[in-house]
Amino acid sequence: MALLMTILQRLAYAALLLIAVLVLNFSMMNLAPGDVADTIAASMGGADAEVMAQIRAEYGLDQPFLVQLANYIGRVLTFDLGYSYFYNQPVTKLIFERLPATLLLVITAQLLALIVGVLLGVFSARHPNGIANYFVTLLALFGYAAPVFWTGILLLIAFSLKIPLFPVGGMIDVTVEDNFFAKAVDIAHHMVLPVITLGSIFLALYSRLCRASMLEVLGSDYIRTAKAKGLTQREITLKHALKNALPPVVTLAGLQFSAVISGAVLVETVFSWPGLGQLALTSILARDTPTILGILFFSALVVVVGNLLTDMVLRAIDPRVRGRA
Amino acid sequence: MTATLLNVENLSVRFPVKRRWGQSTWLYAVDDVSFEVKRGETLSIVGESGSGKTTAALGVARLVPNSAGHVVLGGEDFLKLEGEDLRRARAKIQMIFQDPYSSLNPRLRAEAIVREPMDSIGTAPVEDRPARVAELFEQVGLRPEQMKLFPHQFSGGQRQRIGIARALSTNPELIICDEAVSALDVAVQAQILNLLRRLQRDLGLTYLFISHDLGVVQHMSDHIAVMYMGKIVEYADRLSLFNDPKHPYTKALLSAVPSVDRARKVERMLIPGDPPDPLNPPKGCRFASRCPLVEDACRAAQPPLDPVGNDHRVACIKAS
Repeated sequence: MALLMTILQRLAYAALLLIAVLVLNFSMMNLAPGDVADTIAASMGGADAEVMAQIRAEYGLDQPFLVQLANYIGRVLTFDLGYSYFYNQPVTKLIFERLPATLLLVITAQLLALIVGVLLGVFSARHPNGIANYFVTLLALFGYAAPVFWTGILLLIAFSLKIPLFPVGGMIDVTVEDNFFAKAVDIAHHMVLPVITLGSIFLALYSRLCRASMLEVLGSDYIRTAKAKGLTQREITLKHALKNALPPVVTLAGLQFSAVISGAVLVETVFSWPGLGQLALTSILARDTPTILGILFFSALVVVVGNLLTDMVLRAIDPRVRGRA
Repeated sequence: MTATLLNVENLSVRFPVKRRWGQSTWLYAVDDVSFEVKRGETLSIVGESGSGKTTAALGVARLVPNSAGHVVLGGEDFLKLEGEDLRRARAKIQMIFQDPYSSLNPRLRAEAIVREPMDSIGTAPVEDRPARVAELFEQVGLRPEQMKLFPHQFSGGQRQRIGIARALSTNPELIICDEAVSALDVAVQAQILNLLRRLQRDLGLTYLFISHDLGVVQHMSDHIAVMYMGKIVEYADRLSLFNDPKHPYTKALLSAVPSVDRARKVERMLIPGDPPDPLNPPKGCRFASRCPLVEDACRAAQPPLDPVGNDHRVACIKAS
């Protein structure tokens, strides 16, 4: 019951937050120079002021700012994100076409980074002075310092060009036969490099944090108690140490969710991954305001949901958080 | 004469200390210490902070590396065991730790904390374990409905009771109480001490009791060993030690115990200065630099722990 109340409370906060995001995004878009009329005029090879005004009137861009804002929010509340000027399609449809690809990439990369990061962190905390520990540290520093697009291009050169193990880009090969299994294998094959690229930064982050957190916990009194009890090293590491070391990592992973999404924009561009990031880039270049706003709104939604899930996971792994609001 | 349960011979525990230019030396926190504990009795080790009493206990329990010597329990040298053998042998020596707040895993329920050693070492048949946990809870004075709670939902005294139940769960032969009550307030201390004594009487337990509190030690012990700078300076049964201390350090310790009895007010024996640098211990008696009775012979060689009476041994050339 208390859990239900907490969830409802969080959802209410989330809704308010999303409306604030809407207002902020819309205002910023209006402050930025250029609108869709410029793009249309440019594609027509130039237009006079009268035609421009006509285009603006057609899209409602001649209305006062506050009226436009109110109209927009009103429409979003009925789940209508508007109509893309550039693609001539409803924005919602555009986004839902692209969203699965992005979510697939982002969630896989995040999970991979978490699992491998935690494993590496635990490993290097158990052997804090070993050679392997320095290797893990080096890997983490490299992963953290290297820009995503650079890592991506480097991986492309190495594993698509020089040693052609993986495809250069895209998500699925059109020549693949039309059954579920073959498609899944093909998508997985296309995913390898983008996931590694996107995962590398976060892997570095999680492995460092997990190592620090594990080292702290391993030095605590109750680990000595566990040892004195006569538990196996495995029981001590997994049950007593890792369980206590994990919450900071999970919290960070939740907070990093937004960073993963923004990282996806770069990775999708490098690997021509047909996701939201790519859509965002083209619509920004086209001054396609409704699409940009829609994508921003959806990213905010994903981040809010991600944080909500993080809270739930933390409750599951830390009994002390339960029963507190 | 009761049989000896634990025989500690020439136990040393040393820690590496880094010096400049990558050189390292060893700090002997416990230096060539021998004692024995008889079955069903309590041996207390007393001494000031840094005397090595806790390290000696951790050395016996194999919880610090770099131990040398012999810790013989039931014919088996605990210091020679490794890996899986050591892990299983831990069932015989269990510890009760000083700080009941930090020594319990905050994420395990009280029940799981007590039950885990049985699951891991397999000291009770699976079907008996829930009943055994309930029995242990009752033995240490906790209510059965508290089994499902987490450590932070208990008070300090209750937490120490969980620690005791946990230590009992493997049916150990020896329980090491490392300052088991010093983190608790006085009223709770008395409860826990009485619980420990009752358990000793009912279950025939043997205690190695580490404390700096002479009042507590007098209440608990059959025999007492006094440590100073990693060495035992005096060993005696309780009555001899409290009524007829031989070593000047023991005398100084005893005279420092505050008394509420005005008539029994004794002259305080003050010892000036601090203990010498443990990285560079003196060649002779380690207490020489602070001892009021010091003479040249004291600084020449370390006095051996010689018997001065029945069950009474002192490491002082002025005592005999």
